[in-house]
Amino acid sequence: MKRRIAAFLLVAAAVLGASAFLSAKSTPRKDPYGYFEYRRNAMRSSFPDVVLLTQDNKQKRFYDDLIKDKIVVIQFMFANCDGLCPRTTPNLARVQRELSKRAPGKVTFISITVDPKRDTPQALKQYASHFDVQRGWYFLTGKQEDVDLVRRKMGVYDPEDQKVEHMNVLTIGNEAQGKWLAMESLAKPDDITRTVLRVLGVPKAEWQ
Amino acid sequence: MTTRRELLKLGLYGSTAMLHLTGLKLDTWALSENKSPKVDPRVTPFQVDLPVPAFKTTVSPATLPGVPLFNDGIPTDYVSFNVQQTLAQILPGKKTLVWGYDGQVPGPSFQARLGRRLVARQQNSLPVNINVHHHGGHTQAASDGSALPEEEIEPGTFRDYIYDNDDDTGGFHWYHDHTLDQTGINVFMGLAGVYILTSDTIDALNLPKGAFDVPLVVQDRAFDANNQLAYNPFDHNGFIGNVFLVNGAVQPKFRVGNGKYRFRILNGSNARFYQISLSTGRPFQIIGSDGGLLKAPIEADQFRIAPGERVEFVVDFSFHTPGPNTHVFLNNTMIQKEGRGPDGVDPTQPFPLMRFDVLDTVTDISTVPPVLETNIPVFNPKESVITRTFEFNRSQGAWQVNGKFFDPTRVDATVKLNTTEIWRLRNGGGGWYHPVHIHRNEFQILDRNGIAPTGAESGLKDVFVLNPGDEIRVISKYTGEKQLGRYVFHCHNIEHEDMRMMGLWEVVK
Repeated sequence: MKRRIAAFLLVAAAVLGASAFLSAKSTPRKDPYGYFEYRRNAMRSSFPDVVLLTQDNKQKRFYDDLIKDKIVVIQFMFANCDGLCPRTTPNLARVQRELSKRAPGKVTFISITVDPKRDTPQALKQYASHFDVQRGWYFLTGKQEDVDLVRRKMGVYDPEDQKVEHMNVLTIGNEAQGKWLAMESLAKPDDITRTVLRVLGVPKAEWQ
Repeated sequence: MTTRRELLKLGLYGSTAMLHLTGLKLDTWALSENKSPKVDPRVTPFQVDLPVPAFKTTVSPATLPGVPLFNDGIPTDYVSFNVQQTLAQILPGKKTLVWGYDGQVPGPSFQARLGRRLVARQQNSLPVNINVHHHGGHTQAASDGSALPEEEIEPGTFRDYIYDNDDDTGGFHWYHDHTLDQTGINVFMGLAGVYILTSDTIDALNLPKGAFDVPLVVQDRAFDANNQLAYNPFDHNGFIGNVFLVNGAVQPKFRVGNGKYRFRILNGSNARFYQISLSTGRPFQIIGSDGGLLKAPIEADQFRIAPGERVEFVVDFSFHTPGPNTHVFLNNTMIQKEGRGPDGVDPTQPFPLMRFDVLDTVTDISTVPPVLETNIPVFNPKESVITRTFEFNRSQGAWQVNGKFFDPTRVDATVKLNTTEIWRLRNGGGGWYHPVHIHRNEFQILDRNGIAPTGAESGLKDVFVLNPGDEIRVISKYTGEKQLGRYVFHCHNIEHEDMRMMGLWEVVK
């Protein structure tokens, strides 16, 4: 009973708080049901908090350090790829340059190798040096099982053949709002840029 | 199949949150297929009555500041929607957050008439962008809702859509969200409704009317441990749920009389196909397809319906003696385990989508006329000025048309007004099904793998199912002086669409 009363008081406080907010600012509440938080929590376990290594050989927790509260662009690749990766990474580098002007410091780029045995931090650093990669772009390696877990949880594998790495899938997300989508790594840079700005919540007047 | 299950297994969630004003606590998000039940154990069929969405009532344009006004003598009606969040009871005794046109799922039905223009204001009170597509409408480009990001309605703003309701023969359309990259979740949360376009000619037919003319919006859903809609945006193959809704209610019951009913069934699911039949095995009359009434009714005892497709059919309950135990079930016999496509029909495993309770004795004066629609346009292949080929394929996990990704700034086909074209739609392989939807106007299927269409597919269509290995030729004459500009065509497996299995085309003078 006490818990129910407490719960009622909490709800009442929330309602009162909201009305006070309303009367003070007289703007409609944008998310009265806490939809964004619900989506965020719903998506939480899609991002295992495994420890990965950056191209600078620093340890990063995948969720806590790289995803949580961030706007992210996530790509899977490997350094020796002679298929799509040589085109997707420079494509993303152009997106990063554009976003560094339009939303400076707001977007984190993540490239995760699917070949962690060969792609050591040093190999990834070497790979990144071929492209105009700016701050805020992490090239990640780790244990094979951790990398596979991340990829599978993010739906980036083929139902027929889990070895097909889906280099074409670019995942874009706004973690705090639980808003996630996927598009093609090889889409035009300005298309990807605009999509990231939309996920970021930039009004369309500013990205049109 | 294992891989699918594995994927779903990975969807286990553990964390907490509050739906602030309701005190609802959300701690886990687990797709229930995780434990592989075919149906969510929380639901019991036939507990609730079938909701029939009310028709939207018109308002004075004076109540809509800034709405477009017309002096061209064409009668114009105005309607106004508030697209909003609400808590709905879908699972028994539980509250589920949904998004609805006017907060309703499905939204209120449009009642439109040929020759009368309709202007619909859509006020967005959701916390996300939306875009409203009139599926089946011959609509001006700016009002079509063609997934173009610059046309999105941002939170707190509105857009006025103009539906001319001309250059058409009438039909069973629908409206739903079409926001680029986000259509899957937006439709899943509830943004869909029915749009019925009728005419004096159609009304003059002696088909079942009024309470005997009932839309059935069929959708599958999944719910998390806190009774909230569970959608995984990382399932790019196609969403498959384990709770079945008709008009927003779980496997409802519907009280009917011993007469004829016109049912308009819409598959509003993201990726699930259905094979529809009656538990009695009795045949019914198929009278309409995506593009309106057929020339003549077709007797059938079952039909397949893919995402986005519509089929109208008349069921005669007069064979049954009304009584408390007289039940007829609307069954689905299509087995589908994953978004890739249906696994096949199994008549030994009928699943009841809803139940008809034949309780009332009625006087039924309706008929199914032997001739239904006499105004169906005929498209002549000899007049075709070009045959275009569009192949729907998969490339390293992403969806393409003709080896290209959708680019909202690139026009993939330019069509001249009032010309006839044949489009060849081809399945690029891999065992995937693609229900392809072309916006703006209907088409006649010329052939599927060289064979002429049968059943509801012989009528005018705007969704064409590409089964694995299929090649379909469709034809249309691109009339409609007002419908110039850019439109899209895409796979109506919405998860494929959100991964941009879509093309842009335009009509020019």
